[in-house]
Amino acid sequence: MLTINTSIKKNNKFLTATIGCFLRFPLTKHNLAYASLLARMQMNASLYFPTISQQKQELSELYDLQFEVVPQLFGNQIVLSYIANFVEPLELLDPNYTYEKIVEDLALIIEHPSFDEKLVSISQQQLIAEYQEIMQEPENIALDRFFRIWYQNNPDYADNFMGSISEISEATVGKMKQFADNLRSVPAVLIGLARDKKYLSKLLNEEFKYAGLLKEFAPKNTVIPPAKILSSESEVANNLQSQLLLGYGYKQPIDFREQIVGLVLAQYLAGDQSSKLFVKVREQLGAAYAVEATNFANNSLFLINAGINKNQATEAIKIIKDEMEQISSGKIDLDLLKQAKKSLVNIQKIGEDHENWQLAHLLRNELYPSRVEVDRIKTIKSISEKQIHNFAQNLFLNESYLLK
Amino acid sequence: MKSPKCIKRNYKSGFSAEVIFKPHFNQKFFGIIVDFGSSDPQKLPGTAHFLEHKLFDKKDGDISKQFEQLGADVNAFTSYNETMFYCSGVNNDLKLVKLLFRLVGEPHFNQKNVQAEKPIIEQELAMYQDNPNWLISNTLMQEMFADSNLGIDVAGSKESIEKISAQELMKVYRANYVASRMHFVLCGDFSEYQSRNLLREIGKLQAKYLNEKQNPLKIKIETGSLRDKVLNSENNSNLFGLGLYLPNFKKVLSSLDLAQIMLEIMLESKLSVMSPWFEKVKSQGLLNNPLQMTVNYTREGNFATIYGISNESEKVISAIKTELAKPLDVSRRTYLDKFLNLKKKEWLAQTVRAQNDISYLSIETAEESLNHENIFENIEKLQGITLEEFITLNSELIKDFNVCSVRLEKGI
Repeated sequence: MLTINTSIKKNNKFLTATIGCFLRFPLTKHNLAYASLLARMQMNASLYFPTISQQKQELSELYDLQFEVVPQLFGNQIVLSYIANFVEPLELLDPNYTYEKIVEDLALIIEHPSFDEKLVSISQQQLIAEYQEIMQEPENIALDRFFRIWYQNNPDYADNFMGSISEISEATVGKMKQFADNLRSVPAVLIGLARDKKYLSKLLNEEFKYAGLLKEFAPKNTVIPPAKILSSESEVANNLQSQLLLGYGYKQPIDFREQIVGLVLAQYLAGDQSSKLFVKVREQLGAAYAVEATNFANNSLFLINAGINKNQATEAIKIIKDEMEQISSGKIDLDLLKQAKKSLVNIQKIGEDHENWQLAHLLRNELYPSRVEVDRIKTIKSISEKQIHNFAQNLFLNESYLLK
Repeated sequence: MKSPKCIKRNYKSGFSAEVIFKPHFNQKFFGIIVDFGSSDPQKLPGTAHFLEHKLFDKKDGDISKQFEQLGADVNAFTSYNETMFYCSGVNNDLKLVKLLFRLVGEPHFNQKNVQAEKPIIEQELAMYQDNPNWLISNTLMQEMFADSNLGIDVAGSKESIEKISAQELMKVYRANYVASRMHFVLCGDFSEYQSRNLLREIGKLQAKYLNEKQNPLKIKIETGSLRDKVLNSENNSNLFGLGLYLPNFKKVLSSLDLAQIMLEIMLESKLSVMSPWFEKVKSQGLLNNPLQMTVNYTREGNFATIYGISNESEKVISAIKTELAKPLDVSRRTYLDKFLNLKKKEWLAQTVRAQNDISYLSIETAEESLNHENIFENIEKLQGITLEEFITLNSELIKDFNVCSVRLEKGI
């Protein structure tokens, strides 16, 4: 038996089971584009189910097994994620619908991609068409522009969504085959949740033969340090709303505990309807429907963004900057901080009720094994005013982007 | 397949409530659904949606802050025939139930707070309108249902939002937020004892907050011009859409939901990636991406929509119309039989899967309760439908349908 990186947890809560096969490799412009194309090709068809129709039919036969292939980004790493969600066979009692059949089909689809010329071509056309539509939405255009500026000195990290569309368009059958062959030896892990964890683990170990399953899955470091760009740009488009993005970089690298401080700060600023910026920008200024704050720890970025009234962009920017100044000078609303922590704890508890959250949590444990012992809820509860203050002091406004 | 354990309670006022038991889950979901939405009678389009926003405002400020102080998340949505207010938390059950009744049952509208909400709703509308999907879907709805409330965006128009007043909101609220047209759903890991206590409290709260007066809705059905439209595109979008106006859509085996499922299966049998039609248009280079198809029923009209992406949208629209005009081909019996059986499996799985998500399950159950539907019964009925019945029923559902379309073209 070769497989070692397999970890299936017992599931008593859900009526479905979920399995993820994850392959990890470095993020580059080329790798992201090819991973997106390979992902689409494998979602469409495979060597044993060679047409879109045949593969779809096979998955439907398995009681609409939900199968998704998607490259996820974790800082400087790509994790090509094959995720299957299926009804627990015990719920249906169909003799032809078993763990054996499900795992066998998944292994056939995941381990045996098809490199048929027509399949490569239609997958390219699909991605090009979708990319074109994604880039019609002002929010996406602004996000894309923001990251291109943020990573102007490191284009390998600058692509969003599916990666470079020109690399996708120019990919050939030969190049895709070579890319997929190289993935056979990158670090891999099989994780999931199921009623019968022992039996499912056994089947997975028998069917999946990636060499990468024997390798250490956790990378040394996924964080991309911030490059100081100090950019302020605005561009004009004929939209009804302006898209505003303010990106704060970290002055000094942060540890996992500080990442959780960043989560609490994001909740304090824009997590719910009581949050600081929601009240000030939406309720008091009436300039936006929603405001968001996100701590992208792997990108060393604390991002605040909103779709705002075209005529109130200057006021909204001032409000956001002033609030960040207030926090970094130690003026923090303690009641609101308490509430933000309470909300985050509840979000985590409710997240545990979702299989995809559980799978993401298991994946993070594989990527960052040193964090497994950290009790997130306890850590959230312990975050102090001083820590929020220190976190804000470690931020500098690195990029301001406005799509008018 | 087991359906989740459930307790229902009907109160004298006509108000009803149900508890869905989900052992082992942390989340507790509480929701009140109102049988009134954006396409129902209201003088100014968007009033139902405006009400949904404005009910959060109370004399002592925004009530959402009180939910958040309890660590709960509160939200609401407006659809064609429903408005729903709901919250999720992990504890403080009774306090959340009380707050939810206060949210729905204690209107506080005045000129100042109504005016303050207008720019926020206008930004919400602007957010949707900046998306090319909105242009397509909004035009389709207008082509099917003209300037009726069903033909206009759920949020209304900039002009109608501007005209909404505190008096108008109160008038629409009093006419529609009545006990007999409202339903409460609770879902989570409750004990029998807790659920009985909560249902008792709900009985008291509905009596305290809700009006029993009944106002029958005066439904008016309008039909649009049902044209094929080409819109000028300022960007490079290749989106297109078709609207199917369904004058003969009706219950199948006593259920509108089942009729909806049957029609969706029929559309997918003709146009999904598994269909011979898709293979053909794909090989002709007309269409690479799957189509999105949905069937909707409302009091004000029934319709289906089909959305897709193609740089040959004119040809694809024509090919779809040709395929839709054909009756279900009995000479393809083997294909249809297999397809129907696959879809039966898919719906069974979808119903099982729905039980994993407390919010989704609760909202679906609340909507079904208003419509006197039951998804578990419907899926059982679906399993027993034969191919012959499927063909006959669909030919009745689709009879005399009309189709319109919208596509984008640059520089027209």
